[in-house]
Amino acid sequence: MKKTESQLDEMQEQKLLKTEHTSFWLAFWGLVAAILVQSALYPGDLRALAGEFVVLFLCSGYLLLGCIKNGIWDRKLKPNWQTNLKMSLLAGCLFGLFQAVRVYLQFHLLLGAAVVLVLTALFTTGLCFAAVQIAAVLTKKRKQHLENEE
Amino acid sequence: MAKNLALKLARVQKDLTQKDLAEIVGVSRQTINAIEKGEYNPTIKLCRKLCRVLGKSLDELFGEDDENEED
Repeated sequence: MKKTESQLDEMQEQKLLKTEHTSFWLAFWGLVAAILVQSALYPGDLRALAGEFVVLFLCSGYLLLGCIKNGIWDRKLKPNWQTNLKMSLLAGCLFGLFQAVRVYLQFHLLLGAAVVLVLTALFTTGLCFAAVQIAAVLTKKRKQHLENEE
Repeated sequence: MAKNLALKLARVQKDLTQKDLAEIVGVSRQTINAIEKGEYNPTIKLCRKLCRVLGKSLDELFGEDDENEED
C-alpha cells in the first residue's frame, strides 16, 4: 500500500510533536495516578490493575530504550550517582509515604504505618537506585559510542 | 525572537502575499506568518527555498545580526 504523504508542513509537524509529547506525559502520569488510586481503593487485588501495569511498562520500556539508544539522559539532570541517589530517595520516600498512609487508613496502626514507611522507602530507594544506575551506565556507554562514531 | 523584517520586505518587493509565498514554497500561510513574526525558526531546507523564490541570499534573509541572534 502506498504511504500517504503528510498534510503538514515543518512548523505544523513540530507543533503536532509538541502536542503529542504533552499528551503522552499526561497519559503517563494519569496512568501512574490511576494505578496508585486504584491500589489504595482496592488493596490486594493487583490483577485488576494488570492492564494499566502492562501499558505503563510498555510506555516506560519504549521511552527508556529510546533514550539509551540515542545516548540521551535528561534535559537537566546528569547521570551521576549523587543525582541518581537523590532522585531514588525522593521516589522511595514518596512511595513509602503513600504506602504508609494507605496502611494507616486500612488498619489504623501508627507503628505499622511507620514500619511500612521505612521498609518501603528503603526497598524502593534501593531498587530505584540500582535500576537508574544501570540505565545511567548504559546511556553513558552508548553516548560515548555515538560520540566516537565516524 | 526578533521579527524577520527582511523576509517581509523581500516578499512585498516581489509583490507576493503570505499565501502566495506559502503556496510556492509548499508550506501553510501560518508558517510564513510565524517566520515573519519571529515566532518560528525554519529549517535550512525551507530557508533555502525562500531565498530561491525571493531571489535573496541566506545572509540577506536570515543573516547574522544582533537581532537575529536573539532567542
